[in-house]
Amino acid sequence: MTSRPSFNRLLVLPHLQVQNANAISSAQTHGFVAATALLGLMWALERKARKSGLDIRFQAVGVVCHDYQEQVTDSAFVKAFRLTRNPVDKDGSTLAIVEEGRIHLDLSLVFAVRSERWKSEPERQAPDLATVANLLAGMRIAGGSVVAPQHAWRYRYQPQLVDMTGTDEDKAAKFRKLCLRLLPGFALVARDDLIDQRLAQLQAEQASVTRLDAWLSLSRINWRHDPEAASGKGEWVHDRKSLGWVVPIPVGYGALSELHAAGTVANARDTETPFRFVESLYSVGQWISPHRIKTSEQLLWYAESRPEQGLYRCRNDYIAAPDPFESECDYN
Amino acid sequence: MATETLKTASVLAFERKLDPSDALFFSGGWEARDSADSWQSVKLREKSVRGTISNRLKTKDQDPAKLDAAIENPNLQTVDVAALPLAADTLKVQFTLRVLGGVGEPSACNDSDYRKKLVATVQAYVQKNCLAELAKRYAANIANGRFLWRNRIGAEQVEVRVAHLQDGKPATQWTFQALEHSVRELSAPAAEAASATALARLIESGLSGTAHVLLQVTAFVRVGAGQEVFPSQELILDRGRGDKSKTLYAVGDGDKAVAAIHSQKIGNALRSIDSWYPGAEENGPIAVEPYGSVTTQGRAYRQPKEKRDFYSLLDAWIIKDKEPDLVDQHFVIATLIRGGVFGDAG
Amino acid sequence: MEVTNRSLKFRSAIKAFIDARRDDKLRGKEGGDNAAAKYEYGVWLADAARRVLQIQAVTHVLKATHPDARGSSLHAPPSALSVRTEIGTHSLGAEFVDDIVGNAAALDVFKFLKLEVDGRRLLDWMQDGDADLLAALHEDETVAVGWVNAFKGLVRSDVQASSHQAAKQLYWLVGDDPADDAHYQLLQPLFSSSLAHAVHARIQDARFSEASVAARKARREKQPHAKGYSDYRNLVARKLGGTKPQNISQLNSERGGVNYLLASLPPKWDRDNRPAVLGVESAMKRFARFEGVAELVDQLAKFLLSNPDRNAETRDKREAIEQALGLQLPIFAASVFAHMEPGWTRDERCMLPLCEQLWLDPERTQLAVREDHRQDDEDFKRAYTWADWPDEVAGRFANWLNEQLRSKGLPALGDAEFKHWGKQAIIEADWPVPIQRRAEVAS
Repeated sequence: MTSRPSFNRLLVLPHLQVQNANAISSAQTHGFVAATALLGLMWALERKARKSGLDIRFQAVGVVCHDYQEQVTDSAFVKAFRLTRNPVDKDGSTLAIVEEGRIHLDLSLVFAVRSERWKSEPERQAPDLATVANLLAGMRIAGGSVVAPQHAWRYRYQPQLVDMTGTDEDKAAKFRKLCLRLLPGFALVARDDLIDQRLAQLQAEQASVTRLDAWLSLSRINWRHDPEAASGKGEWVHDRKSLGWVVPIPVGYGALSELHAAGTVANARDTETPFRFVESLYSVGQWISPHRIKTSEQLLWYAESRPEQGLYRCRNDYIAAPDPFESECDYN
Repeated sequence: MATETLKTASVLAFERKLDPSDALFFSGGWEARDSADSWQSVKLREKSVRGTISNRLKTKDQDPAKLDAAIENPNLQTVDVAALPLAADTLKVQFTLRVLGGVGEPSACNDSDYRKKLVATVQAYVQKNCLAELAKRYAANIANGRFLWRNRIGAEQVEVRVAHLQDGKPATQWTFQALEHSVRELSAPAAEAASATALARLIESGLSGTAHVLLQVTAFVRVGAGQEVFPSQELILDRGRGDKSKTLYAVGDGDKAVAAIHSQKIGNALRSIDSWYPGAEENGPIAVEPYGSVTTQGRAYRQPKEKRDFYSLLDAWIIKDKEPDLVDQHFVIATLIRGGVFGDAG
Repeated sequence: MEVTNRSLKFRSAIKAFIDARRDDKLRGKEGGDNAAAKYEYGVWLADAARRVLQIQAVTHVLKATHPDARGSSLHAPPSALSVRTEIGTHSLGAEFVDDIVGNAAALDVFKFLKLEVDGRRLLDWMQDGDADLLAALHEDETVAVGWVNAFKGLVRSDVQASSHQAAKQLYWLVGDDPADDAHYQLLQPLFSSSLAHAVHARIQDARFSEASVAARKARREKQPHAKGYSDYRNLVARKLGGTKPQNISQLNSERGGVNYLLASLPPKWDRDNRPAVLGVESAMKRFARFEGVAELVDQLAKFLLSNPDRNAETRDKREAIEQALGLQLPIFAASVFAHMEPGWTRDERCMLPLCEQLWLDPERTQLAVREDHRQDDEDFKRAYTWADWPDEVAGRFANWLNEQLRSKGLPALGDAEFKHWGKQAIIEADWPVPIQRRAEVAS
């Protein structure tokens, strides 16, 4: 599936308390659940929902992170994960620890859905919504458990359905209302455009710079001494001003092998599904306050699958628009 | 035919069916157990302690002058501690437990014949035993407050309240005087046997049902005003010089941090129901683990050579059609409830 | 076979390599002739050609995923991969390096094959079928070809690809129906050791290189410096393979087992910027100091004071600032919800007027009514559903804004302005039922 999602409702599961999610999202990144894992969750949720007799098609997913606690050491420079297990082997000896990273998350998931049944039976929306919320509560999000919040009755924890029919203005108004309810928090959106931009800047100084360099350059704070700054007195400056909270993220997988026919790879998870070796692909994302996102399409992530090109990708259609009246949440 | 050539799936995994949250620590007065508002979260604080030199000295350090210098320069360490305030005599420990259904359904299995046999075998067990024995034991470890670990020791009184949460609100509730329950026998006193049974039934319904069951467990531990309490300790490899030598676990950061016990450790206590292994009479129940391993004792009680480990028992049951003793069947099913990756990848 | 000068050059390079290994291994030992015999030219090569099967050149290492995993590691160099705009192993150009997995005791064979003669590795010459190298290996061409074929097996792929239960395997929907098993493919992500190596080298350089250290020092001392430096914030160093990184792969061992992970962490909502709403008689006082608000009021005042032309452009600009300001209200309210417990307005230190209490503590209506404050709590709930409070809050916002602008030198503004400011206020972010402002003034 490569088409943009088509939907008429947003199904919102606000403030999910996820405990011990996998903090390692790829071979090169940590600190938040990969978009691939959110799509995987969405597909699994639709399977469960339909098994329970619901007629809901899940098209895309948006995510807002309200709070997090990553289980890392306090060290100021390079951190390590805090581990919990020190298992013993059958001979009583200590087993080698496989370092797993964990993170607690307080996040809202916004699913773009459509349901034919709700058109004829709108009264089913509320019970269906409750069923979906309940199903999700029993699932793992990137390996983490969904824990019941302390005051589950609070408004903020109630799942909701937002109607996304009507004119563009109607939709934008309803979406804005939803976004305000997801404050305070930060939504993850794609900023693939920044790599090209940074690459052009860097190559203007040094032609041999690669896309990898541009990506890494966006993944860090670059300091230099600017002799002109501070009214000519000179000052150390960094390159994060007005860039926003930009981070490296995994965005999908690229093929390393041909597609192996089902049943031909030993120890595959099943013998009925074609199998492929892949690696993580990386790009750049941005954390942005939801009230700054104008349409639901700009919040949502959806799958773009091009197996013939060996590409299994998560897409988001955010369009960066500078806001003269709001300062960017800078990463520094 | 199929059973003759049946072999263990090379990919075989189960999700855990008892899924506890972290347990948070609060402080307050024993008499205020009913008023939820009056409880304050327990904070961690750092403390400097003066370690004495007691470790074996390296030869080069045995020079008397150097030793004197070392003793005069005691080894100052920073550690985390947690304690009740002076105005509070009771520790409140709270967590939620999700009991998920579908016991015996692998989350991954790449051999459909094996899967069928496994699911049928577990179903036959469930039909015969109703998961009642296991549920009774899990319930016992809630009622007896084993999950409090060190905080249970030396407490004057421990009251455990269990609420069945539905739509975020308590539906049914039970109260247990934890110290009257036997941690060793996993049994309830006569007065609370009915409650323990009711709780066990609910757990059983969660494990065998399709909809999960959510429990809220709240323990009140009367340890005395200002007493030290014991959250989980963090495992940090490669501690640098001058780093804290003991880091305790807290949920949330800054002034919102609450001392807590890791969910994994709560899970370990709840599944400490294995009293069927060789040596159990002396040692008491241990956590269900494939080899009966106990980290603190550096031992594994279910050795493959005695064929009492999970893998030997499971293979005998599923592959060789040799039904294990009932108590070993309990152990195998309890290991599936624990979850893990169990395939035979050769 | 003819022995050329070039062939002799190969031979002497190989001999030097083998001799050096011999000297290294036998140094200080009572070397019997037996031990030394292993390092005779033909003997060592024959043995190496046998042992090369114990190692494999790869780019993607299975054991990095889990040390217990057994199965295929892959050799997928950039030249074999599609060019993509995303970052991956294909992004590595000339700096790309092979990794080695397998028996660490056979690593000397890899070192041998990496030996450079005339600017290329022996392995490269072998892959080209270089005749001089063949001649240098053994006078019998059949033997030499046999060895070369064995050595070339350093880069190979498994006859039957295999995965493992400790490897990560995930289902990816390639069709459009998640409920249909036939619409999926199984993907096994492998750890790109080659990419990790390039990333590791750059991070090491940023952290430890002399240039970086000097630049960092200069900034700390507020001194100018010709070169800059970089900081990777919230970097995590994960260890692969514990105390035995060589069990994972050769490059992992060279990296000391360190796998650097870059941070995708979101920002933390600024807890220092919590509006302190207890003990003040109006939330607008706190709103005035809320992040971004003062700047927007300044902008608006400056703009109005500049006497802009009365045209569409002016109106648009002015409305944009006003709207941005109005939008700060629900953000402010959300900051209050986020750090106060529901029912916080019951605190006797709360001095806010009722309309602001309803605005900033809507979840109080969900709490059970207190026996000793029955009247208070019931009134609160009633007032919430009566719902004229959003207009009152909007009115208070308008008053406040008027006051702010007056204090910045703008003349007193009239009723029309008051109404206009009120319209900009967004007080609808209540949960779950949005309350319509009854006296809504359509714009």
